[in-house]
Amino acid sequence: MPRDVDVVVLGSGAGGLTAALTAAARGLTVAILEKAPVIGGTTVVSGGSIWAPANRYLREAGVADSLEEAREYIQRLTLGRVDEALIDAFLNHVNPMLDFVVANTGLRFVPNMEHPDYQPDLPGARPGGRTIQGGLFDTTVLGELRTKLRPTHSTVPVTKLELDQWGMDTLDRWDWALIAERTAKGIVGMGAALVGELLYGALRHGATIHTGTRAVALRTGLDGGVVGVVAESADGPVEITARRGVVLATGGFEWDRQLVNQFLGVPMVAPASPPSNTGDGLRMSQAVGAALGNMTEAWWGPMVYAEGDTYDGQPLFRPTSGLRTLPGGIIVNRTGRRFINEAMNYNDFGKALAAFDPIRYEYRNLPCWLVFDQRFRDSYSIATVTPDSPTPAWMATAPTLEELARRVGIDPEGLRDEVTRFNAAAAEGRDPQFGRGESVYDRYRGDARVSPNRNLRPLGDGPYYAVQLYLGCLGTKGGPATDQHGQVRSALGGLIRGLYACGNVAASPFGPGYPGAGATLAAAMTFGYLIGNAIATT
Amino acid sequence: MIEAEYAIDLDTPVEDVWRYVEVIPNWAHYMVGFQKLQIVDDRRSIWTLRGDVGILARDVDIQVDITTWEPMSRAEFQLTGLTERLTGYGRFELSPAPAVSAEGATGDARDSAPAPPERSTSAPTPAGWWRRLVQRLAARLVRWLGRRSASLTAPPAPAEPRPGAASAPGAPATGRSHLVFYLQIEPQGPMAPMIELLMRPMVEPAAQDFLGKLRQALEGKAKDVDAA
Repeated sequence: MPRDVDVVVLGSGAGGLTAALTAAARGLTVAILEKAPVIGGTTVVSGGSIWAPANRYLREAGVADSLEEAREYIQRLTLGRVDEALIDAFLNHVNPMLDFVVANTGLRFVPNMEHPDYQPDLPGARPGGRTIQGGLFDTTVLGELRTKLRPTHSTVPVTKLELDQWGMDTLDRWDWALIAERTAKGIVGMGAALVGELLYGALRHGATIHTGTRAVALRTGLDGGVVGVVAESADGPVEITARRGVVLATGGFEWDRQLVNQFLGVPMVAPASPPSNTGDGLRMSQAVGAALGNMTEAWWGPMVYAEGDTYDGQPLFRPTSGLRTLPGGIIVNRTGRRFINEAMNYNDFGKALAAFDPIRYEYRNLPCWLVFDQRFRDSYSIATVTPDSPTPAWMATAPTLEELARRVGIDPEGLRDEVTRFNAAAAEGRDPQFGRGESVYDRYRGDARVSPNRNLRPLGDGPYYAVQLYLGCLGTKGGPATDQHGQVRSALGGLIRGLYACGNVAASPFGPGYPGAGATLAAAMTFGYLIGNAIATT
Repeated sequence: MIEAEYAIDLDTPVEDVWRYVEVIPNWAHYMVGFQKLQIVDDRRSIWTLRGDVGILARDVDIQVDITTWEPMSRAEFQLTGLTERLTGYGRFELSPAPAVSAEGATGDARDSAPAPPERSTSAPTPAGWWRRLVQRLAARLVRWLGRRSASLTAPPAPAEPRPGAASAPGAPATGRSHLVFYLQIEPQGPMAPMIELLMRPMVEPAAQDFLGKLRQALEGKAKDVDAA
C-alpha cells in the first residue's frame, strides 16, 4: 500500500472511479481505498444508466435537445434549493465527462430513446433519449481483481436491447441459459459493467486499489486543509499522505440507523444499496468542519422484501420500478385506499409514502401493499418469484379481497369499495383519481399486451395477493456541500483545501429531484471528472 | 441437473451406523445451511436450509419424502422444493467395509460418475455446454479427491454430541462400514440454468462436509464410548 500519493480516493463506485481515472489520466498518482472486501459500491447494484441531457448520441440520431431545456427541467425539480452553479457545472460537463471516459475506457453507450425523464410533463423534460446505457464487460481482463468485483444482487449480464425484448418483470421470458453462460464466463452487465470498465481504465493509467481498507479520519494541516487519511486495514492502521487531495466517494448513510433518524426524518427502513454505506465520508467531513447540504433527501423508492433474502448479511430490499406500473394491481394503505398513481416514478412515489397524518399522528401510507389478482400473479415476476414458482410466505394470498385484507391488516370494506371504484374506470382504461397510464413514463413501464391502457385493467378473479412495500431508497444524497469543482465547503465559509466529494456522500446537485434514469451516476461521474481535473490543475 | 456422490469408510459397524442415520434429527443439523426440520410423519419431513451464494442468501424449504427404506443397507428419498422450483433425489447406501490395517479408517470416493437413479420421470438431455461443464467438474472432482484422500485417512477429532440428539452408536466399534451419500438436485423453471450455475459449486462440498460431520459424530462417539 502506498504511503504517499497525489490523490487518495475513498470509495470505488462510479464517482470515485471516475475521479481516480481522471486524475490518473492527468498523470497523478492515485490510491483508491475501499472499505468493503469487494469493489464497486452502490454502482454495482444499479442499472448502470447515465442521464445525459443533449448528449452526442441524441444529436447523432437527429433528435433535438438542449442544455437550456434541461436546465429549466432541473430548476423545476430542485424547487430552488440548489446552487445554480452546481446545476450549470453538471450540465456543462456531463457530456465532456462522457467523451473522456469513452476515450479512456472500453465504455460505449447507446441512448435509450424510449426511456422518458422521470417527470416527463414538466417543462424541459424529454420523452426519451437522455438516458444512455453501456454494454457488457468481460471481468477476466481484470486478472486476479476479477474476484474482487462486488457481486450484484439484482442485475445480470444482459444488454439494454435484451431487457427491452424480454421485459423487466417477466423473468420467465428471459434467456437464462444465455445469462448463465455469460455469468460462467465472467461477463457482467449494467452497473457492474460500468464499474469494471472504469476500474480497468483507472488501473491502466496507474491507479492502485486497496480493498478491505477503511478510512476512518482525515489528516489536516495547519491551515485546516486535508493532507491525508488514516485508514484501517487487515495489516493494521495505515496513514497515507495525499499531496493534492482526498476525494470522498464513500456512498450515502442509508445503512446507519442513527444518521437516518437524525437527518432523513422519515421511516426509511429499506435501503436497496450495499450495507457498507454507513456514512463514513459524512462523519469524516463533519470532523473537519464541512458544510452540509440536502441532508433530508434520498433517492427514494418503494421496495419489496422477499422475506429471508439477504445481501452482505443484511435484508435485501428490491426496487419496484416496473412492478407497480403493471395492470391488474393497485397499491393501498391500511384503509384500503389508493393514494397515488402507482406507476409514478419511484423517487416521487417515495415522498408519498412519507406523508404524515397530523390528526391521527401516523404515517398515512405506511404500511402499504401491492394488491393484485391471479392473472397478475400468472403474468409477472414479483421480486424473483416467477409465475410458476411456489407462492412464498411473504406473499399473502386469499380467495377473496376481504379475506386478504383481514389477513394482512387492511380495512376489508375500504379495500372492497376501492377495488369496485377502481375497476369501473379501469374497465374503460381510465384512472380519474390519479391519471395512471396517462404519462409517457407510466406507459414506458406498462404491459404493451394490455389495451386500451397498458398500465390499467380491473382486478379480476381471485385468489388475490398482497405484498407489503416499504419506504426505501437507492441511497441518501445529502452530505458535504461542494462548489462547482466538487471541492467541499467549510461550515464557516470558504472551501476546505484538499477535500473533495462526489456521489451519494455529497449534497446532490439535484436536491430533492430525480431527473431521470441514470441521474445518480451522471452526477457522481460528472463531479468525479470535475474533481479529477480540479486536483490536476491545483 | 447437479449431482454429487461421496463415500467414506467408517470404523463403525453397519448396525450402529444405521441406528444413527435412521433417526433424522441425529444428523439433520449437519446439512449445510440447516435452519430447521419438521418431521411430518415417518416418510415425510420438511427442511429449511439457508442457501448462501456468495454474499446473497435465502432460506429454502424442501420437502423430503422417503421412497425406499431397506434397514442396514439403503434409504432413498425424493426432494421437492416448497419455496423454490426444484426437485431432487438422494440416497444413502450402507455396506460392510473390508477390514484395514490398524492405521485407521480410509476415506474413499468414487471416481466415476454416479449411476443415475431409477426414476419414473425422464431427465432432460443436458445441453452441450452443460455436458462439458459436468465433464470438467467430474475431472476436477477426481483430481481433488486424489489429493483429499490422504487427509481423510486421519481420524477427525471427536465431535461433541448434540444435546437432545437421539441415540448414537452405543457399542465399541467392532466392524467397519462403507457409507455412500448421493445427492441430485434439479432446478426447475425458466431460471434453472442460472440456479444450477450458482448451486453447482456448493453441492459437492456440501456432500463432503455432510459425510465428514457424520464421521465425526459416529467415530467420535464410538471413541467416547471406548474411553468410558
